[in-house]
Amino acid sequence: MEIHFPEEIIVDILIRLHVSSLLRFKCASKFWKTLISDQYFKAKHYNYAKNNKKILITGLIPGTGTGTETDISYYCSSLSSSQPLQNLCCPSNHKPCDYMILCCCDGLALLWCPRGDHLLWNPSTNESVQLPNHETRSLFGSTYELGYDSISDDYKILMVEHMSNGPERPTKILALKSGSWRKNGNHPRGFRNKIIPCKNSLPFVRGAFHWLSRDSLLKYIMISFNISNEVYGEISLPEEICNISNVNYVRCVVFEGMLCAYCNGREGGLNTFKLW
Amino acid sequence: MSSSTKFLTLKTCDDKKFVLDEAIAVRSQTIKNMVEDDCVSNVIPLPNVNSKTMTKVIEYWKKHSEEGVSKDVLMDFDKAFVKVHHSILHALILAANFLNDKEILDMMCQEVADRIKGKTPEEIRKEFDIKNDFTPEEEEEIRKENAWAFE
Repeated sequence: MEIHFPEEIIVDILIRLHVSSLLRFKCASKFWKTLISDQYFKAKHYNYAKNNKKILITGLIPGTGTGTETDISYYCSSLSSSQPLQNLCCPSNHKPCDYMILCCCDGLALLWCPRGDHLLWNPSTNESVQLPNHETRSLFGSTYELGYDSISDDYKILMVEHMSNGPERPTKILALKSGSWRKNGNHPRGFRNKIIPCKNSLPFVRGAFHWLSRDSLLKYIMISFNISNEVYGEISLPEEICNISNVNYVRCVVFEGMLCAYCNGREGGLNTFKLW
Repeated sequence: MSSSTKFLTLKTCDDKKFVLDEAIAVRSQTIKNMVEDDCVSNVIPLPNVNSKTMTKVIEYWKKHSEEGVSKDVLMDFDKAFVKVHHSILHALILAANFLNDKEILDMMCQEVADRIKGKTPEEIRKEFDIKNDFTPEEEEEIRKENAWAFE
């Protein structure tokens, strides 16, 4: 029985497939090649994937044979189904054990290598690009985050330095299309950044990166940095959080698409946890 | 049966008639729109759907309209439901598209996607009855560009 599907049904089927299948199916016919290469299809495929979240897992496998070496493998797992872990290839021409994942956005991962270079990697297609080098003090003195700017239709990477004692607290931004890092200058009020060095600690929500800082009175405030116009902003935190003493940590994160701040501290001999 | 139960008669392209509770039939957005617009006479013609396919669709509708069915039972039902010959699968997709039943359409498209994901271009052409209109050189070019996808 021969059945010809209308285009919208073919699209509805194909958006569920992995990129590698799609690239293979480009060979089927000219019509399929055009369909799969089309921007509209790519956007649909991306949106479908966005609703079916996956996580990227780094696994440490103790090296065999050579003894001391540790191998890293990357896996991909779907959060919504019970499909088995998918073993990912590592970025081509690079040894995965050299890399650390700094942040992820839209299925792209920013990797860092101790030699000092950064690699932007798409685990689904195993494509990667080397990012331009720039001066950094050390990996642990700076935090990175990747975001998508819909106005310039480009991905931008923000780097914020923290825990440095000098007067300068520069942030740097790299727009992928521009190919070079740019200094953003200080925040107008010259705050002291207080970022807990960990992954994804510059939460990217509604077109802006966010992080915590302390003003001249040592009060916690939230700084925002707009990805499109690259302008700083400030969000004040509730009194309970910004004035906390005996604090263990204050952090800001994205929680179900919303920005939130939380802190953990000791008050009157009790451990407290506050969420905003 | 309550007195308010209304029945609709659906007529498939091979002239078979199906009498169905309106509350169940309106799982089809197409039928629902017809009912709401009051353009339902005695019989609703379904010129794009044959009786074999309609029987399957109604089986699905009835199961999913039953009261007190557990999620697990429905999941098992769905799993068994999609295990059909690919000609029936394709017919069900076209029927679900015509009837505008997103649930069935979604499930069936996912099933087709699962069946074709590992296939080669040749197998895809056979599955969808596609004519290869590339020259061997053009095809080789695309294969080279995407070599890693063929590994």
